[in-house]
Amino acid sequence: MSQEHAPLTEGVYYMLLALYEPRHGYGIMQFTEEMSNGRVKLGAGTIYGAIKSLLKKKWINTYVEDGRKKEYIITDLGKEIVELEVARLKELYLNGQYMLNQGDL
Amino acid sequence: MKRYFRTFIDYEKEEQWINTQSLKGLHLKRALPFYYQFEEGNLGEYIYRVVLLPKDREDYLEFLASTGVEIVCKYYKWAYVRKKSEDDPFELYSDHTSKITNYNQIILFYMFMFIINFLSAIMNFSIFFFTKGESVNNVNGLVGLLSTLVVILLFFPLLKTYNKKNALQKEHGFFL
Repeated sequence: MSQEHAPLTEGVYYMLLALYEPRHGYGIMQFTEEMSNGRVKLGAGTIYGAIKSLLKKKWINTYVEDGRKKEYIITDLGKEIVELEVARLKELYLNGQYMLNQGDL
Repeated sequence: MKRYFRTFIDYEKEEQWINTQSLKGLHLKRALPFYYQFEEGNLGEYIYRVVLLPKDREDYLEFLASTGVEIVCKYYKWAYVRKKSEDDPFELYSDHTSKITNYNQIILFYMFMFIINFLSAIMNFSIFFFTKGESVNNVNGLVGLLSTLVVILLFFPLLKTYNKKNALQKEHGFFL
C-alpha cells in the first residue's frame, strides 16, 4: 500500500464518511457522534476549518447552497482516499488481532 | 440587567469570568473592551466561549450559528458565543490540529498588540524626553507609560498561549 497520504485524523475520517450523503455542518456533527456512539464529538470550529481544507483538496464539494445552510458531498477523489484509509485500518486491525491471538486469527 | 466596567487582556481569564457570572445567573448580553452588560436568568444556563475570529468572520459566525451556537455579540476580531449548558460540553475546537491553529492565531494577535504598544511606548517616551518644555509632553509621557503597562501585561498571556501550543504540538508529535 502506498504511503502517499498521511493517515486521516478520526475527525476527517468521520467527516468523509458523513458526506457519502449530502449534509451540512450540523449534520456532520450528529452523524459522527452517532456513528462513534458518542465517543467522537467534533467542535463547530474544527468542522469549519476541516471543511475549508477538504474543499481545497477537492475531497468534498459544495452540494447545494440554500441560503444559510450549505450542504457538502464527497467527491470521487474523496472516496478513493476513504478506500485507501479503510484498507490501511484493516491492515492495522488484522495485524493487531493476529498478534493478540498469538498467530491465530 | 447588570453592568460592569472592567477589561481583560487575557481572553481565557475573560471567558472564565463570563462563565462564572453565568453560574451566578448573569448572562452576558453585550461586551466591549471596557464594558460588560449582563441579563439575569437561570443559574448556569449557558456556557460561553470567547472566540478570535478567522479572516472570513461572517462566514465563520454563520457556520457556528447553523450548528446551534448562539452569537451573543461581537466587536472587531472577537465574538462572544454561547450554548445551553444542558447540551453537550461546548467546545469549538475538538482536535489537536484545529486547537493548534487557533492558538497560533491568538499568538499572532497578541504579538501584533505587543509590537504596536512597544513602538508606541518608544515613540512617546522619545518625544517626552527629547522635546523639552512643550505642554503636549506630559500626554506623551502618560501614553508612553500606558503602552509600557500593556506591553508588560500582554507578556503573560502571550507566554501562556505559546506554552499551551507547544505542549499540544509535543503531544501531537508523539503520536505521529
